[in-house]
Amino acid sequence: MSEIILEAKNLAVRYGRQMALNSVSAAFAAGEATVIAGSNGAGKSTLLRCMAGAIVPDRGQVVLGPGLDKAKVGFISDRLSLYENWTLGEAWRFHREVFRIPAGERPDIEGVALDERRKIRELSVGERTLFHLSLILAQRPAVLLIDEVVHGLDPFLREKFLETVIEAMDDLKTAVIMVNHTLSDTSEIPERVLIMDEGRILLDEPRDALMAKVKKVAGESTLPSSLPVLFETASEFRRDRYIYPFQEEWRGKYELKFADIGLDEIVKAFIGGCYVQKRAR
Amino acid sequence: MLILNIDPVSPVPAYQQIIQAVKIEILSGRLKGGDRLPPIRELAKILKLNPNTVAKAYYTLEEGGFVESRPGSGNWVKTRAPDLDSLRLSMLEGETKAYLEKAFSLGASLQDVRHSLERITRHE
Repeated sequence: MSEIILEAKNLAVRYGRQMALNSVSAAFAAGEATVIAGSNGAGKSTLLRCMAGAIVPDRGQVVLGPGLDKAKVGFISDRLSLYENWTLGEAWRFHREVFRIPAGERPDIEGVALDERRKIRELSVGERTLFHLSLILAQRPAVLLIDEVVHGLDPFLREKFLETVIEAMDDLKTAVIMVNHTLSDTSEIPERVLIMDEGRILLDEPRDALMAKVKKVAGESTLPSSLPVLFETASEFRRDRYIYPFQEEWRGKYELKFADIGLDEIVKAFIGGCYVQKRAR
Repeated sequence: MLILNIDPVSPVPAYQQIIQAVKIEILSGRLKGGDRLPPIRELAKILKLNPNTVAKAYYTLEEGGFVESRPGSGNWVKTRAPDLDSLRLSMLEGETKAYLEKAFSLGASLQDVRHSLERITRHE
């Protein structure tokens, strides 16, 4: 595929006795969109902050592609790092000076007009997020790191946010890396899925390949012991078993119905599987 | 006005859903030879998809002979799409299989299915 524009190499971050990241490596290509999912405390946000340069890792490094510097890496989180007392106009001027952006380069977000004289603290969470996005896009970022902001937006602003991100991917070939719990919030933008647990990358796969590999068997039928069960949920009235890695030839071989499932459910099965393993230890 | 719908919770990959939807539009005659498909970026924005996903779908349609890509001016429906009759037949078979599976799971026999079809077609 296209050139690598950001690479995390063996990142390790320790918070006290806790390893937040433990030898994490991943490379991201121009125009590629990735979602990072995982249980709470899996290290997702720490990884994103390391790649944004907001945290210096204890070990390892983040390498940017040729000709890129930190100004080309945009980071958007639910904590907007701007002075609350500034007006939008002041915040934009400051941002422009720091990143040496020519005046008039800040893109409008279609359908969302914000008064430049308003103060940052007067904005709603959603308005802040879209304002922050417009500041970052003025830098014409090669990488856009998005830390769990999408779920906090109302449906209208979420649509505007996603459309703006899609435009950036098309115009600038921006690589998008987002951390999210609910994958349906991000629509079908991510084409690659990275699942983390306990500071490590558990899985890193193209979306379509992952979907082909995880299937669900509903009901009480007996499974051959050779089938790899990733996770199981059971109650008096319902039993679901998630099979991973699935092989297409099993459809003809076993008298079982292997159901295709959506990405949200796949991620839930992986995270659920992690919790079961932890309890067993 | 072209209407393509994508089901975001469906386990069918979005690019396959686009391919299927465009084929249906062509079969039904709502899309004709020489019609222009929405630009990749516009369709991506409407359906909230990755532009790469739309591009992949268009490319597959082009390989299948349904669509022609003209550099600089977008993607167009081909005037003579490949064998529409056999495509129509294979899509109909898929739909029929799914329908029969449902009907049988209700405990209906083939006889019941035939009668039901006859009754409904007579009334419409």
